Amino acid sequence: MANQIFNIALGRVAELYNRVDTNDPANSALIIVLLASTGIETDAVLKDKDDLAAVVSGTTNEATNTGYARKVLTDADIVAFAPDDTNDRVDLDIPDQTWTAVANDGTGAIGDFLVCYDSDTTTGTDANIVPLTMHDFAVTPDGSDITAQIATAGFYRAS
Amino acid sequence: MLMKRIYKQTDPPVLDHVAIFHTGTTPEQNFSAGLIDSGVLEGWISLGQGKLTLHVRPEALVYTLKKIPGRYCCHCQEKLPDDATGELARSHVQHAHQGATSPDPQSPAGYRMLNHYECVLDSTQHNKWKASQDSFSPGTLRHTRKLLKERGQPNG
Repeated sequence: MANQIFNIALGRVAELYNRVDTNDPANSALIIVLLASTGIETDAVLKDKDDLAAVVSGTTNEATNTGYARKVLTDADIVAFAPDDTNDRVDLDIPDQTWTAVANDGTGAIGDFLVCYDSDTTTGTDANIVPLTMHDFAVTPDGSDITAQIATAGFYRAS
Repeated sequence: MLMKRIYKQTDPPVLDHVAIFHTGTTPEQNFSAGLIDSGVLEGWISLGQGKLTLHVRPEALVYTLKKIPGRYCCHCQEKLPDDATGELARSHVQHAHQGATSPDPQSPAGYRMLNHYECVLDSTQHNKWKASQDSFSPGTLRHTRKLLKERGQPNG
């Protein structure tokens, strides 16, 4: 498994992030999702999925560990959009994410960390959520807190 | 929020300052601990007296700190002691709020850990710098760049 960008998001990640940052449309947000490691499909299979419902439609499943819930990051939560003119790129960053008291209650380990885009968190279903990036995040919960440490440069670089 | 690092035209380029284009649609802003750490080291962010100041141009932005990184109870909002695994926080929830459903659906355990500084911008400054639809139009960015160039900041 490796970090990758979903095909549906190629060339779009920075703009969708910017849409959340500018609250346009209102109630748009980044959604952070963890996938269970058991049954997870190959990168090649997952990369072709066009929405979050499709990502978990096969043998791949979202984590169900007690203590886990999706994170919803709105415009106030994400780091300011800041083009880097010197290096001619845009790094997209979010704060580290912590899930508190995540149990291993027969639900197994975590395999991946997804950043997704939801244009309206007040309506719609997982079929309306666009998966953007997927990152290796192998951890076996033991009831304590789990923190996903985002790289210094952020979770995505457009260049 | 839209910011831009403006560099001196040297080899290698050296950070001159950070420019602000708009502060977003709401005065609330959560700054990641990583951004604050690097900004403090680079000299364009300072913390003190309950304020977080972004020393950006054309004017410094003063945010009031609401919460700092750490663990907080979702029930009583109390700042909880921090340890490596969250054991002390779980102990608080178990003893003070036993059996109660967490009011925060994103934190079912009843406490959450913030990895950011939760801040709110001074209302006068927010009204001055908040984003509007015009903020996103190319015309406004061009206008801002023109102003920055007039001030001798060619990378604007």
